[in-house]
Amino acid sequence: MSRTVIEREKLKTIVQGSYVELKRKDKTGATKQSTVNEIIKLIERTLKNGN
Amino acid sequence: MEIRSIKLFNFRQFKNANIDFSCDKEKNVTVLVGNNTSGKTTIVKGFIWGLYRINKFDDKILLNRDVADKLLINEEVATKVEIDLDHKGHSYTIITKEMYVKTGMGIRVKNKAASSVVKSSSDETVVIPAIKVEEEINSILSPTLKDYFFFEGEDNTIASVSKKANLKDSVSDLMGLKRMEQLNEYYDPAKADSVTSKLKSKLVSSDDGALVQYIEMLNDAQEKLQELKDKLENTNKTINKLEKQYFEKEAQIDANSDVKVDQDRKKKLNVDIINGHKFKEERFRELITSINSSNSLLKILFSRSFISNDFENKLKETTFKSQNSLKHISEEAIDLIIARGRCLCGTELKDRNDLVNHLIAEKEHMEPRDFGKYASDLLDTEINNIAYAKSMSENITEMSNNIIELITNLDTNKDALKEVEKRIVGRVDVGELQEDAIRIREQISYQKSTADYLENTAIPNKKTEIENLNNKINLATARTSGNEFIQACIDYAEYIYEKTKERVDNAKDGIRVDLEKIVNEIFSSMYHGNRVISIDKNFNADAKLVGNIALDKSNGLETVKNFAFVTGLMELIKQKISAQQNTNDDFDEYDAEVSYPLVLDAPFSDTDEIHIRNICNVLPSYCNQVIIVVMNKDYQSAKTAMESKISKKYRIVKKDNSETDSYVEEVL
Repeated sequence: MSRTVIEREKLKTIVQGSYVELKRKDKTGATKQSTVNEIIKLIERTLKNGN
Repeated sequence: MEIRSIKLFNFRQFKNANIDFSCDKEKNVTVLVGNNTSGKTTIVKGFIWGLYRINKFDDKILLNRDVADKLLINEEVATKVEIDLDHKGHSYTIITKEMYVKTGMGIRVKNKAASSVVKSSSDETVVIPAIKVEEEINSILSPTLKDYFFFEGEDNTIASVSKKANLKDSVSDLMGLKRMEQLNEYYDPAKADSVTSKLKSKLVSSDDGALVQYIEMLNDAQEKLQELKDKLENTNKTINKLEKQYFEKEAQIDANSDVKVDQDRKKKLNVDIINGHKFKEERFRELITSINSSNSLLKILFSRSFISNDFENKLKETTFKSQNSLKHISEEAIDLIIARGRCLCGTELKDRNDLVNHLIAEKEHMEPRDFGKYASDLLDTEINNIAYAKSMSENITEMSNNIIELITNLDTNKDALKEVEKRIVGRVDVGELQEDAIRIREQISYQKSTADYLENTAIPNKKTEIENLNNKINLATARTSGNEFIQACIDYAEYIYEKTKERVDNAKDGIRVDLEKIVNEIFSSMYHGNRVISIDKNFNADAKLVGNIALDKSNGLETVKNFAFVTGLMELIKQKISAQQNTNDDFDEYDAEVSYPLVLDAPFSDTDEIHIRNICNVLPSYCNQVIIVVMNKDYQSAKTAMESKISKKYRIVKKDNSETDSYVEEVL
């Protein structure tokens, strides 16, 4: 499926980050839209940083 | 979650009750024994009110009635439930309080129920702010899940567990799968507001307009897909609800099978009575019509007089009788012919004494000297009339007898109806239940065909449409560095979606398989019959027969099966927790962290003694904490099987047999 090689470390960061984001949403009552935006920022940041 | 104690103040029958529960891992059972109306159910309902402020009583006033009666005008008093529990390494004290005041109009609620929570660990104690209290309590055990652990025996019974509409979600939630499911949903490319879809909308088109158009179409298709999925979910919910209703109707029909015969008889009698009335009216009308027809009464009267006066013989003997009688020609007419001197045939009579004498001789056969023809005609008529009267009278007799018989039958049926009605007064109409059951079954099959269409046709079609649009979007996307970066993000997002989906699906299937195995292990030690439990993908448990043996669909089986199911669920949660502690996977699909106590009120009411013993034998070894409220007679059956596991036992006693004053005492 992917045109990009999916790097395991980046993937792990994104999954764990998303998980934390979901937990935070439950705790703070954030909206789905803002949580989605946060996750997108997290993906972009992770990929840009080469992290 | 482990419950340490509950304290009830002025709560229903209890002015002041304090119950400590066993927190011993080995002897984990607490038993409360009480008679009817002593307050057994109140204790379980006290948990639900104490934790969720849900009043499960018919009466909205929870305040003890003795206390209420003694209040002075404007005096205030509180009803209070205090629960101490341990959860995830913290101790909680949850106090729920409702204030009452006495007014001229009686007792009323002054301040509605509110809870306060104190949470403490080894190093700190925190008072949870009022605004966060509900959230804190729900994080211990959500109100939806509470029904799997607190069985108050009325709205929520063990026997109804497998019919719960939220079963699938609840099992996922209990196993800790919910978060992973949520993560999967957030990445779902088929959803318009997902991470993946949002990333796609950031792509820049190589061909002005086309990409925007495709993305719009994609969003549209995604929304439609979501609608279809919602519709499917609702349809499945409806099916679940209908199946529950169907099961209830069937149970009601079973429970009332004894009145069915009487109810059928009542229906038949009603039809017979209506028809009886109708026939009676018809026969009456026929009778009247035949009496009225062709002067029948006059004919009968004449023939009667004819017979009684012996006119027949008199007529036969009459001297007037003549075979040569000339009807309608009188002597007077002959005299007139002789006087005018010409016969009717034109012959002159003058000087023809032979002809005149012949005419004079013929006068012998004329009125009034001879009316024999009249007499013989009358005889014929009256003989006919007599025959007619005889058959008419036979007819009328038969018709009357018929009517009398109909009236007698009507009376018998009316008496029988009264008897039957007396027997079935106040009972449900089984026929109506059966009609309802058929109607529900038809609805179920209709809903199932809708669900089938959605699941196997409409949704897959929409998915294909989305896939095609995604391909078009890929082709229309400009090969810019910006787009490539977004595409990389999308790839990651799609990869996460696929992985999480795979994990959720595998995990669910794993849970289903594990649960089925554990539940059957437990079930086989509880139930002595030829059955195994199969659990479907929605976690519905069904006790299926092994081999070809007659069906024994009883409430008892349903209870045992669901005991096995709930116990199996508890055991699986425990297993998942310990498995999780030994894993260091990147992301774990299981998030289960805690097991729960099982609180049961009168769970054995429809179960036989052997099964009670079997259940009690097994229950404590699979559950962390068991709190069981029972009647004395059921306790006797449970005792031998469970005695070694009981560390706390209480008696619920009505003080001086009062309905408003019960207390709890520990039995040592």
